[in-house]
Amino acid sequence: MSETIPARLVDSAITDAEKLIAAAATVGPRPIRHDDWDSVMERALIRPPSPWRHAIPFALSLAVGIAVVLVLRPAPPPAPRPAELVATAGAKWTHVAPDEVSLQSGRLAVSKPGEAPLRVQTPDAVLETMKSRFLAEVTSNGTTVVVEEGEVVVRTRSERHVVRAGESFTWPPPPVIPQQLLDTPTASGSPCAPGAEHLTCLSAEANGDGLDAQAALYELGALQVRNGDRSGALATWQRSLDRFPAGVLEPEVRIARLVELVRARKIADAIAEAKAFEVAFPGDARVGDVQRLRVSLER
Amino acid sequence: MILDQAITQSGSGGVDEVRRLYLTEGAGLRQTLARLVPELDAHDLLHELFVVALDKRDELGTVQSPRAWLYGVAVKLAATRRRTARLRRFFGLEQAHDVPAVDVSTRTVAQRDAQVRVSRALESLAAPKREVFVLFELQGLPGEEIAAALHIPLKTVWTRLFHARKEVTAALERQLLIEARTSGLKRDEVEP
Repeated sequence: MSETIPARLVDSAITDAEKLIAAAATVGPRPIRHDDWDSVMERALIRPPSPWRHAIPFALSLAVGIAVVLVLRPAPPPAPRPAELVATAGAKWTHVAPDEVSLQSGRLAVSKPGEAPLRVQTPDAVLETMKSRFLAEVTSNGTTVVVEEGEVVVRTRSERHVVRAGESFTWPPPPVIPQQLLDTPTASGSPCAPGAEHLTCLSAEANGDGLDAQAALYELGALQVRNGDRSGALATWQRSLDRFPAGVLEPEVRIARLVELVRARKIADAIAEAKAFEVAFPGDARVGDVQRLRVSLER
Repeated sequence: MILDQAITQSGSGGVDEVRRLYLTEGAGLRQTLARLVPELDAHDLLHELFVVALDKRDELGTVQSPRAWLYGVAVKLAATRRRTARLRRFFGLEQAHDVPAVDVSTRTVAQRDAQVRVSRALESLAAPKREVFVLFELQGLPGEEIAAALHIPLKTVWTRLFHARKEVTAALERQLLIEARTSGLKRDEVEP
């Protein structure tokens, strides 16, 4: 670009295009009519109102509307109060969700009932409750629920049970032991008389040999059961089976062990013991009862 | 006159000055508006322009070149109304209106044809270049006034003009060539 002021094409047109521009530029404007000025003045006086004139009233109305809605809107209901849970030392439990607890073992109590529903999952069942106080305990025997207030619904794979205040419920229920298996005979001819030294006498006798020792071991186990020493009894009878694998009292020892294993809820061991009995003594009169008990345990 | 008095009474003076500018510059301004936005009613735009001038007559009274100020407002008004018109057309709200005659009644057919061709060539031009071209080449405003009207440096005016000329002449050459081809004539045989 040069510093000189460019001349208008109307004065310096050379090409056809420039001549066209020059021709267009030579067309002068049509004069203005003097009375048109009145139209301008009229328009200036009655100018159309600005479309923004409604902006402030609209904004105010909107603000008032929002305020009214905020003031009058129904307050959301307060969050339901959760239940207060207290677990005993050693209990294994975790919060699966805000309203769901998983209890693997030990005791868990709802000390203060909550307003929200609560689910307690145990290995055996699911406990559902709301506004209730209860104690849940998970042991190797199963799940026990003791309800103090309100009610708890216990859902298992097969059934639904409602436990009300003052009631308790254990799942799974203890298996029914056939009566014939409970009628265990007592070994006769034992030199140990019942009394204070009975246990000592039987222990000494059990260390011996032969039929007396077998009888003493069997008697010793039975005595331990009566004294509340179930694990001791089970160990004694196991010792009997180990020392006298084909002993005369093997069927009685095995049945006594089976019964105590069932009572102790050692289901797997009980099933194994029942199977061993069925194989070893297929002609025994009690094999049918043992089989039925095993089947019920296996369910 | 009653209207004049009403305006004068409601604000400060200067209405007479605006009226004088309307009578002296109105014709040129209307033609400029028609050349910037040929699809709109230039007469209506002119009135709107002077309503703005009446509103801002105090400001108008202080500027160095009232003519440049008016042309500046005219360019802005044309740009705004052009955008609005495009929007209205997009939404199908465009209304048909009469396009008033803004050119002198003595113009020849050749001048009219030249105007039509130039107007078509200007359509493809970007707004900044079109504004400078119309104001300088067609309306004959000096560069200094254009710079003041558009609030741009004088050099920018010349730069825009340089590019605008190139584009407009190229567009016009194309038009002439197309016309020659469609009518079976040689390019030289077509009268500009």
